[in-house]
Amino acid sequence: MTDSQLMDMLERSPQSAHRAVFDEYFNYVYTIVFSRLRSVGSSEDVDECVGDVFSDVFIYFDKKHHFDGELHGLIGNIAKKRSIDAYRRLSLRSGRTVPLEESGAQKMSDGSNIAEDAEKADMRKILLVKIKELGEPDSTIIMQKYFYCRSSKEIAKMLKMTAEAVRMRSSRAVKRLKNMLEKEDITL
Amino acid sequence: MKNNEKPDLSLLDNADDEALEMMADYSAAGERDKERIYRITEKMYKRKSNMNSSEETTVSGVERYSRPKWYKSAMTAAAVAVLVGALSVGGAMMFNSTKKIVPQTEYEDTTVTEAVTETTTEEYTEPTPHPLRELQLHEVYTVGSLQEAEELYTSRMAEYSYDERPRVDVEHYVDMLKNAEDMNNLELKSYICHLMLNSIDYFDPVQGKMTYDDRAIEFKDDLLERKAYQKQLETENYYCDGNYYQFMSRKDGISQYLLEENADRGSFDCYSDDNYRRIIIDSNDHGCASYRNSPVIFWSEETAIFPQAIAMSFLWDFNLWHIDSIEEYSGRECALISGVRENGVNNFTMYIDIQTGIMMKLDEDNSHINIEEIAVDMPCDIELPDLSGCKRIKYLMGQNGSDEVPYDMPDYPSNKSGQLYGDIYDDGDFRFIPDLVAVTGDNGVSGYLMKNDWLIAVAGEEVLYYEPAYPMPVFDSDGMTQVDVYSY
Repeated sequence: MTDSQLMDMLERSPQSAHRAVFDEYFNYVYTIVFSRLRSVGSSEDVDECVGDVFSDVFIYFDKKHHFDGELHGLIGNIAKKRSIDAYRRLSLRSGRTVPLEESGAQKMSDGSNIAEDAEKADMRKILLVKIKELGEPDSTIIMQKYFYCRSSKEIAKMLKMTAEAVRMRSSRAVKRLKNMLEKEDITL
Repeated sequence: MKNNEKPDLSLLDNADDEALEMMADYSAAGERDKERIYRITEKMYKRKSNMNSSEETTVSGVERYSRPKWYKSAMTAAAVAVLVGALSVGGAMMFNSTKKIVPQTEYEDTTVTEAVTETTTEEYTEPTPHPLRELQLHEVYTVGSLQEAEELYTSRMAEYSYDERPRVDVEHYVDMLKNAEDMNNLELKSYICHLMLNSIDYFDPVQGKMTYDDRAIEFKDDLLERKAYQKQLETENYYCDGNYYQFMSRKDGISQYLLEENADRGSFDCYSDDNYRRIIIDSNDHGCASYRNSPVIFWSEETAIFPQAIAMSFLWDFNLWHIDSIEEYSGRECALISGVRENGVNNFTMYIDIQTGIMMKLDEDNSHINIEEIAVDMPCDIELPDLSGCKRIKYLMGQNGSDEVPYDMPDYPSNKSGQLYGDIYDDGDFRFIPDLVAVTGDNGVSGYLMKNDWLIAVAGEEVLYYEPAYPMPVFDSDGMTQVDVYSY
């Protein structure tokens, strides 16, 4: 859906436009929120935050009736802002102290941090590339199991496989991933 | 990352934009979770919109909407319910979670084309054990196709926690039933129908004895504790600690049982308003019926204890039945109902408990159900079955694809607690993990890890709601005597 198509849809049927935006950006928003909150929140906290993000986007449409720049960037920014807010709130609830940089605020630190960030970003990219190289359904299994923390049973339902098959594929995929990463000098 | 150790993907936390784009290629949640989150989004959007609006909104705590464009229809006698599928929301918790989703007591009808008078709850009220809900007056909806029926049904779905099942004001309606000059008005008939469609919201533990045609059944169901027991003829069923046990032919001394581990009975129920539970399709003689899931009740007693199917097939056309009187039956105050089925041929009478919706008695031409003893909201004593001396079996499909044949598990010995112990069994087709899995501990002592510990330490699994001890204890085959530790 292009931005202009969305504009048209918002004119004709805001409700349909909301649904279309939700469907198209759900994975993106959920990933942003989850990657921020997974260490401090529950699945309900993530769900609520994702709902918060999309409802903010819809309110934005109501108020502005248009948007400047691309929708992707707009939604990404709202998702990041909302998930940082939620992270702070949840950390307070759990009594955890949140260093400023950990809260996801922009780091304007010295050169060593920048270098560290760049190195992490490179490793992250290699890791994701290698996970992708596992091929489906193994890459999805690895992401679901070890990033989204889903059980084999849940993944099995998602991929229409048996839980036993997910377990077996998972343990083999982990070994393959380990070997692939070792060649890149990456140890998780 | 050591061998067999689970990979730590925390590197992906707080990911940069490029990584986020790559990660977003993977499905973030299942379809059902996605739909649930969309409903959360809609509610939040509505709340925020109202906060932004200068107009004051009247809130009354009930949904009220005008009739959809689908017209009310007299029921066709040949309407046949098509099971769309009972929907449950499994405990799709990704990580430790203690919160419950707040029950949604209102929703927006997005299909209404006529002017809508709608007042919905916007204020959050403290959850009570059983929040009040409004009784929906009975209407029959007819649509042109199964797809329309599914869309209509789905648009009215909401999710409820089993711990917070909303109820209508029972005291009020019982009082009305007892004092009404005309018991057969729309409101009171709707109340009876509602109770039957949602009886599991109106009791917690229930136990008793009943007969279903020639079968005698003993039952105990505790929804809040997610425990159940049932005995009939040659079978005994248990649902305890998330596992489902079915014993067969116990009286012959065979003592075989099936065990479905981690049987997913769910913590939440997802269903639509009463009037959308059965929708008539006028393009053919089919209807669309949607059934609520029961967390624990076994099917053979469900017809009486949770008579939603009876309400949909016997009482959907209010012109075909009436309330004769209020009478006591097996110690419960009941509405005696008589009527004729939609085929115009079969006559029936039934006693419906006016406090819970449990069907105490049904007499139809060839079908007789009778609850002889019942105790509602009294503590239920349901314990794990005694597994000593019992043999666990598994069913696999037979060669012709239609018969189920018994299939023995690898011959694992079991200890006094009924736990199977030994190595995992993997024949390349499926893997069976015994309750105690053989390992060698840190000090070279052979023993067994508990299954959950083994799943985490060796298989690299996540086990929900389980916190392992470190280092993990290695037990003797009795599952109790620790002989070593296993470092992970």
